[in-house]
Amino acid sequence: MQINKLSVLVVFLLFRLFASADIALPKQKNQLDTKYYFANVDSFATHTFYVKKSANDKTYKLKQDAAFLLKVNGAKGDERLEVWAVNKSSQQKSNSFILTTVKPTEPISSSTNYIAITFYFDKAGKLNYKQTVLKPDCYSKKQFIPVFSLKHPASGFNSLSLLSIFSFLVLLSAFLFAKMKQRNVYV
Amino acid sequence: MFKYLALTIAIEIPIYFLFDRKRIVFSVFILVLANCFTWPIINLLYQTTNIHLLILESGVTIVEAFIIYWFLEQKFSKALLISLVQNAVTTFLGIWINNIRL
Repeated sequence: MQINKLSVLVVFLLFRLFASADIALPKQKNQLDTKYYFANVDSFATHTFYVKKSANDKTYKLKQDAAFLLKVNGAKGDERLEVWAVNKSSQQKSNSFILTTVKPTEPISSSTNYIAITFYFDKAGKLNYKQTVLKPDCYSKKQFIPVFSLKHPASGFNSLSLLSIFSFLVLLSAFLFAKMKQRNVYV
Repeated sequence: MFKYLALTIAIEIPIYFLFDRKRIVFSVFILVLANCFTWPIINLLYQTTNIHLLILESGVTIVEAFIIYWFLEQKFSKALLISLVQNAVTTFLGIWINNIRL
């Protein structure tokens, strides 16, 4: 009876002590840091392109192949880019569009998405864009991509998988050992 | 990361001994292995899929019940009850601490 009471006490003490801890890990955000490249700025001699970064509220004049990294958990939360163009001759400002962080784009991805932005103007003269996911070299070289991988973008998950497999093997071994021992007793 | 696993084990083991106190060292060994087997799987699945947490926890409850039934030689109904209590406590503690929306 004393041990029973002790167990209850231990449980409640652990609750109290580890109130800041976790049982299931909090779910990670789906979005990843995203790096945008602006690929065809030089194709539009009549326009100048600008980007406003929400992280610092600064406006940048876009140059060919400029790149901007958007962080998921920046100082001001999820970062974003506002992009627009200005006609050099008329000084008329186009519509703007917003670029944000995006979900992982590859089954085996890094911690950052790489996306190239290609501008175009539609028939109504509205600024538009196409986005192309840039893949790491290994994808374009047709390298072997395993169907099942223990590797996860978030670090630490590999060791979790190994721990689980190891524990399963020990349990399986113990189970089989017990079964064999049981069989020998009957023989 | 592993401190969370340690906390889960530290909470689930005393709960088991509320129901049964035979072969303490062996029981601790099996319960540690059971948690080392299921905890990484549930966290991997929870992080990488859209399967609801309670469905994942139900799966873990059944797996741990079978482990208790086979290794710790409890009746299956009792094993299921022990596992259910253990996982209900740790799940809802986790939900409460992390403000997880169900």
